[in-house]
Amino acid sequence: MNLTTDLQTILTASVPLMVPLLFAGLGEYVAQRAGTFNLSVEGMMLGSAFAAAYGASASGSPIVGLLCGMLAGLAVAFVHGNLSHRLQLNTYVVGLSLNVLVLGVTNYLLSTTVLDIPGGSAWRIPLLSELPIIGKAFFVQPWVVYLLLPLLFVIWWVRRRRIGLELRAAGDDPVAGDLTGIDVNARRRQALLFCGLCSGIGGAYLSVFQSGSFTSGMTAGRGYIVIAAVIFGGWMLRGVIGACAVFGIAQGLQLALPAIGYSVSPQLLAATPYLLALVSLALLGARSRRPLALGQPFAPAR
Amino acid sequence: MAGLLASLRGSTRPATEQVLAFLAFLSLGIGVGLLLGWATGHDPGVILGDLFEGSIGSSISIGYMLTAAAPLLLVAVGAVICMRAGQFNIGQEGQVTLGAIGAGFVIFHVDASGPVTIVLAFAAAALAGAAWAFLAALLKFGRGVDIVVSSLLLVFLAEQLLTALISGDGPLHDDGDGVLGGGTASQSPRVPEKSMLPTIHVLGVDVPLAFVLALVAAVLVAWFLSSAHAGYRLRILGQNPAVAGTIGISAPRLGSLAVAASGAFAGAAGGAILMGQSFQLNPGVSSSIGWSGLLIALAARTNASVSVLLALVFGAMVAGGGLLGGDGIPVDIVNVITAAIVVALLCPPVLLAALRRRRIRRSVEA
Repeated sequence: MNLTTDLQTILTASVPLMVPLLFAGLGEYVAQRAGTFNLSVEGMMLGSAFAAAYGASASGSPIVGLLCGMLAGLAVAFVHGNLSHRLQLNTYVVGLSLNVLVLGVTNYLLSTTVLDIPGGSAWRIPLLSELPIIGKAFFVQPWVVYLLLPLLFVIWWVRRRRIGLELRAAGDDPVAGDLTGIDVNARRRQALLFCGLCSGIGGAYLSVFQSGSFTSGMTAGRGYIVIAAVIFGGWMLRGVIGACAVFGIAQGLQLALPAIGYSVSPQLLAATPYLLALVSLALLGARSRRPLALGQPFAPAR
Repeated sequence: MAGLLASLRGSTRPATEQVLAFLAFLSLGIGVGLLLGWATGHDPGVILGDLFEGSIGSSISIGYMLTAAAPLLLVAVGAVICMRAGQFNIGQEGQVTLGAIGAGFVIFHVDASGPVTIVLAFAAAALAGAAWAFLAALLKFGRGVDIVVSSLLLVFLAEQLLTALISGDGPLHDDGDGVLGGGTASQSPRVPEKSMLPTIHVLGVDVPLAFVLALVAAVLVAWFLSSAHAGYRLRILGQNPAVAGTIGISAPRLGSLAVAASGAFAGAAGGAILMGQSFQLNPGVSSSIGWSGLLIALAARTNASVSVLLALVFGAMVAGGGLLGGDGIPVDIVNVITAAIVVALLCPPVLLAALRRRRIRRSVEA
């Protein structure tokens, strides 16, 4: 056992677990910055995981699966957005009920369909994949993973445009935003749709590209880990990415540590992301950059 | 947060409209669920028939329905308390799990007669649930952590805690007593017969004790919130924390009490599940009852008596779902229907508010 191979084992196990967290985490980051405490990210991921599996299985093409997944994520986001930012329903309640609804619907549909998901192959990036330690983990992955880069670019670009400012205004001070002519609720709905799209990719990755199957409730609380990651990351882009990486590694260690020859309680490892988030929240207290109007409904004066 | 929670209730008179809207959207939710069944080739009539037959078709099925409704109602009643106090504790699922753990420790480690064990187990369950919820309150009032987040994160910690306790060398693990192949699965021993919850024979129906307790709890809480002085203070805290502060209500003290109380009810539900339904601790012992109970309270707009009605509807779905398999219909349709009910029931206040606005506009214009 030497350090290099150990690190490589850990990273190779962790990166596939980071990927869905990153996709959904980027979306949730945008949604929360725009003021929606989006609990339905779990439902978005689960619904899109199923839709992707179904699409890929019916068409025989992973790309169709990915598109179906994105559509399902958008659909959940559309419902959530309209219920909580048009009808002004409590966003927590809407999110929780949608999660339960998606869980029920996917379980039901799963028991009425037989899935046969086509396998995808990994892309092996020349030269980079030969790098020691990180080569195999980061550069031999299904192509979907590299969608993270354009997605990151979009977020980075949006942040320095007017639209980015408007989105943040919707999350920090909707009243002032409204006075300057921003349609706060429309911005929040758009942010949610973006979150649905990202979570859709994450869900599709989970079922079609990573495991090649769909099982009942397969997201297993990943959506809630994502929420924890956005909070743990202090509502900052690099913080969120870092948090997703940390939580991914915490999950990866569950698989990697026994392989390396350590035995740690699997329950303790599984609890690590949540413990980390709780402890960091308790230590940081109110010092983070929490969007000021996060979770507050906004009804413009008529 | 106060405005947010007030938006959950919205006192829109007249009452007939409210009742009609409630019933209409309740049926709409059921209809949507049946529609999905129909779209996938199952006769909605058969589904409805099975659900009725399995829930109120015979005295035995009524017993099943009440057994399923009991823990849901306990959780919902607890959720009503903390929501009314303006504390958005959504960690009931974890508090239910802790309750089951607490009851498990008494059942498997305390040697006492049946009734004593049951009482002690309920006490331990309520205490464990309250303690878990209190952690979230402590983080909120001590460190300023949003209670939505902390209570949610604690759900997943509870799950892992339970698994750790019932597997391997855990104190609640079933070592199999020398049975071949026993002792490998993550589960507790079975609850001995003396600690199973008894039933009370009323009008030909075996009413489970847990349901009687839950019903009494619902009535007491409804009375407490509407008529007791402390309940009044609780509501002030929920509706207007600023006013509460000026008249000397301590938000940290009363708020944490309300959260702990809600946790105690969820914990008691965990005890009721262990002693009345599952009779064994396994990783999924709470089986989403915490989530469902929370959603019942929210869909009932934090009203204890409406919660009773919804808990019965949900219980009927669970009990009736048992018959669906016989007709080749996946049981999961039940969860679709209940979730659709919850989503549908979020809508009436919006509709009623729109109606009221229109009425006001008409009367102003006239």
